[in-house]
Formats: sequence, C-alpha cells, structure tokens
Amino acid sequence: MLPLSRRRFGLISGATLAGLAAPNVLRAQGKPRVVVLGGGAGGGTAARQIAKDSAGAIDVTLIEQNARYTTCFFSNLYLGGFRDFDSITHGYDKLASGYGIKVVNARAAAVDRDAKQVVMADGSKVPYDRLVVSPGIDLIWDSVPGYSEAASETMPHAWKAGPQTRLLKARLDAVENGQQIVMVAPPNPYRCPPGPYERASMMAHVLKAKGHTGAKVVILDPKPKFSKQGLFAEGWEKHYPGMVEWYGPDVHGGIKAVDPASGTVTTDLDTFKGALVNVIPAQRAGTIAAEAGLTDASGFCPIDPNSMRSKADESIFVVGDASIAGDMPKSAFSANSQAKVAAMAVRGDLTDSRVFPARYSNTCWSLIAPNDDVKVGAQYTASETKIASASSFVSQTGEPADLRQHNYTESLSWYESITADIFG
Amino acid sequence: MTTAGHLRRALLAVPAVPVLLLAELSPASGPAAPAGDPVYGEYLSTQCVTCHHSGASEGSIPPIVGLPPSAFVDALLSYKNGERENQVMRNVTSTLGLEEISALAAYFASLSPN
Ligand SMILES: Cc1cc2nc3c(=O)[nH]c(=O)nc-3n(C[C@H](O)[C@H](O)[C@H](O)COP(=O)(O)OP(=O)(O)OC[C@H]3O[C@@H](n4cnc5c(N)ncnc54)[C@H](O)[C@@H]3O)c2cc1C
Repeated sequence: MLPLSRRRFGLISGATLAGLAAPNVLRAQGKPRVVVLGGGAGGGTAARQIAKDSAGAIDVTLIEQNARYTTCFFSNLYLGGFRDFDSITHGYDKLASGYGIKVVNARAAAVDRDAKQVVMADGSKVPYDRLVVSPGIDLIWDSVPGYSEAASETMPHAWKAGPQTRLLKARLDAVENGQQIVMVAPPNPYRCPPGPYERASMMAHVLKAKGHTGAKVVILDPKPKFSKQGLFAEGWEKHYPGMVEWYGPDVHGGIKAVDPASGTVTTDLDTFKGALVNVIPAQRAGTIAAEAGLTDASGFCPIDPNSMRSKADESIFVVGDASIAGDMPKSAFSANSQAKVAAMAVRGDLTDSRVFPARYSNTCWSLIAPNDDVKVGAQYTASETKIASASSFVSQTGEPADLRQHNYTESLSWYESITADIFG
Repeated sequence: MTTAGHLRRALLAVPAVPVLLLAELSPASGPAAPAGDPVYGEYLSTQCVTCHHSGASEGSIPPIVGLPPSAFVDALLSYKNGERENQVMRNVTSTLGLEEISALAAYFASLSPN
C-alpha cells in the first residue's frame, strides 16, 4: 500500500476519532514520529513491529549506541562451546533496509521530556511524538564491596554481552584441573533469573569435557533460593557430581567483599579463592531511564500493565528489563512480548489502528548439559495493578531424556525466531 | 474429559462463532476462507512468531504460516484439551478462547510461507 493513501486514510478517520478518543496524535505536517531508545531485545522488537505494522505511516528512528548487538541470551551456550561468538551477534542493517527504520548508532545523553526530544551525546536532538525506552539494565557496581567497573577486567561480570563475554570465556578455558571458579550471584530483581545457574552448568560442562573433574564451581548466593532450583540441583548431581556447590546466605552468612588483586571473595563463613571469579552485581534500569525521571525508588520504571506506558509520562513507553513488569521475569522473551504490546498502543495513539487487550508471554529455556534442557514459562494479562500471570508451567525433575533433548532443539528454533523478530 | 470432537460440537452450539469457522471445522468444507477477525489475529500472532519462524527452521518448532484454518484450529484445540503434548503450547492455548483461535487461524491462513 502506498504511504500516501495510507496516511490520507489515517488523517480522515483520525479526524473523526479525535473527538472521541484521546490521545490521538495526528500531525498536520509530516508523519507522526516514534523514537526507540535502545536496540536490544525490547527496542529492536518495538522499532520493527511499529515500522512493519504501520507500513510507512509512522516515521521510526532507533537509537543504539553500539553498531552490533551480542545477545546475552545464548551467551551461556557460547561459554559452553555450543555456539560461536558470531552466531550470537547481530547488526541493524535489515531494520534499516527492510523496514525503513532510521538507525542512529550513537549514545543518547538525555531525554528532554518537556521538548519531547532525545538529546544525543553530540548535542543533536531527535524529536518524538512517542518514545519507547528499552535501555536494559545497568550494574550497581558497589552492591558488592570491592567491585567496580575496573575490577570487572579481572573479575568479569559478563552480564552485559560483548567483550565481557569473551573475557569470561577466555578465563574459563584457562581454568586447570583442581582449580576453583567462584561465582557471586545477584540479588533479585535481575535479568534472566535462571541465567547464573545455567552459566554454572556450562562452566562445569567445559571443565568436565576436558577431564577436569577435580575442578569445581562454587556459587555464593545472596538469595535463599533461586529459579528452577530443584531442576539445576538434580542436573548438577547427575552430570557434574561434586563439581558444583551452591551456598545460600544461611550457609555463607553474607557476602562481605571481593578483592580483585588476590582473586578472593570474603563471606562471613570463609574466604573463597578462585582461579576465576565471576561477579554478577545488583541491577537497576539503564541510567538514561533514571535520569529521565522514569524510575521509582526500586530503580526500575513503573508502567501501565495494559500498554507498557510509563506512569511518569504518557508520551513514553518503557519495555524490557528497565520496566516493572509485575509477574514477568526480566528476559529477552519478556522484552520482546512487552514491545509488541507497546507497539500496538503506540500505533493506537498515532494512527487509527485498533487496540486490543494486552497479552504477554514468556518461556525461558536453560541448558544444564548437552541435550538436557529445562524450561519455565507463563502467559500474562493486565490486572488492575500489574502484569499478572494467567497460567504457567515448569519442567519437572525426573523427566525422560527425549523430552529434555526436545527442549534443547526447541530452544534453537526459538533463538532463530526471536532474533529474526528483533533484528529482521 | 473433553475431546477435540466434544469441543468442536460445543463450538457448533455457540451462536457467536462465525459461520465460516464452522465450515472450516468440517473436513468436507471447501477452500479455506478466513473466519475469525484477522486484525485481532495479527495482533495475537505477534506472540506466536517469537518462537515460530516463518522460514525454514533449525530446531523443532514447526512453521505455522499458511496453515489451512482447519488444521490450525485442530492443532490448537488438541493442545488445549490435552490430547497433544507440549508444555509451552498447552500453556499458551489455556488462555486462548474460541475467538482468539479463530482469529489466529484466519490471520495465519492469509499469509504465504516464504
Ligand atoms: C547470561 C544471560 C543469559 C540470558 N539468557 C536469556 C535467555 O535464555 N532467554 C531470555 O529470554 N533472556 C535471557 N537473558 C536476558 C536478556 O538478555 C535480557 O532480559 C534482554 O536483553 C532485555 O532486553 P532489553 O531490551 O530490556 O535490554 P538490552 O537487550 O540490554 O538492550 C538495551 C540496549 O540499549 C542500549 N542503550 C542503553 N542505553 C543507551 C543510551 N543511552 N544510548 C544508546 N543506546 C543505549 C544498549 O547498548 C543495549 O543495546 C539472559 C541474560 C544474561 C545476562
């Protein structure tokens, strides 16, 4: 369909609608403008979905500081040797060429909500009628005393994918038999609840595959329990007996400090020395969301569960890890799902397209060992106060091997589909 | 216990179900014609394509683009009533009503696989 006829249609029916349904923004001059801040799981999806569904009626700009995006999802499979780095890294070419999205590869410095524009680090301005914010998380470095951005060169977090992921892999591959890896797990809420434990599994797999069964992975956790705990515990016992140890706060008594120089983690119980120490600190919404005044005291962004619209600004939507998404975990699947609800609401605001009740979904697969994959998932709807789980499932202990293998092949399909859904 | 047959009969008893969907549910029906609301289906479909790729697939999740509505409805109903195994699909269909299933069937049938 020609953009012109499409726009005319929008203008005519919009004029009728304007009196009935606010807020219908129809620009007399030019197309309505949507800016998406952050080209990850949430932002890529939102930009593509809005551009695709509006078929030229909306002008879409995607702001992303990096030219290429390495997915945190499947980065544990890269650590385990199941994927290469290129296969988890994606560019923005298709979003630009296939969907007419204007991709701005630069850092946004601020959101000027009064003037409705994003201010770029170089001072240039990108005006919007609607803004979708999906900056992911930032790490709270000092949530672990002794840890810092500089310390992450010695004790990688690898909780944002890229150079950190490669560093962790290089360090993992250098661990010798008899040595110990120490992981400091994060407190809730954080991106990918099963992620640390899938990572510990992949570390143990790499060690075991080299015959380093005298090496081990020690997890020091600030949480008394964790996602899919029974499934991981069963898997570790089965595949890596004696190689993975998990200590909750009732055992270690509290994580006191890390020391990058000596490679140690001190707890109330003891000091743990690691040939590799992986520190995953506490997390909050990406800095730009906080500086734009979109966060609350929790460090994350309150949203309307019907639309992902920010509670602080009706022209702004927040999706993905930065949002407070009720019962939904912080995952790429969730971010992708939320972005679709936001895309529908944005189009409803700016054109005459229909708006339906919000529905969300999530499934998280975790690989414990080759062909032994477990999953957890749920469907969600908007309740009055939050995004609420409507039905859920989780893998069970003692499941047959063929089911676990099927889960793994399913996860491969999912990765292929979701990355096409995000990046085109 | 509800079987797919029971559900389909139940469906036939619901006056609100679009006539064309009923035709689709009968194996003797003619060429596929969309019955549900394809615009609603398009919105709902966004949650399907996170896993179901439109092209060839490396893993085990089957493509669903271009499926005839009858096959599509049958498949979803058989997950919904527990005849067919798959934790994700049973969970997904548990929250889909007839309106949603027919809308999805109409939308996916309107696309051609690439
Ligand atoms: C080890 C690990 C494993 C995981 N496994 C899974 C999994 O199996 N399944 C799953 O569903 N999820 C998984 N996740 C979680 C998933 O990666 C995140 O939940 C998801 O990436 C969130 O998407 P987002 O859009 O909120 O943020 P992100 O994907 O982080 O995207 C944010 C983007 O915004 C950009 N940005 C931020 N600020 C600015 C700025 N000021 N200017 C310009 N650009 C900016 C960033 O560069 C980034 O590209 C995993 C995470 C980890 C760490």
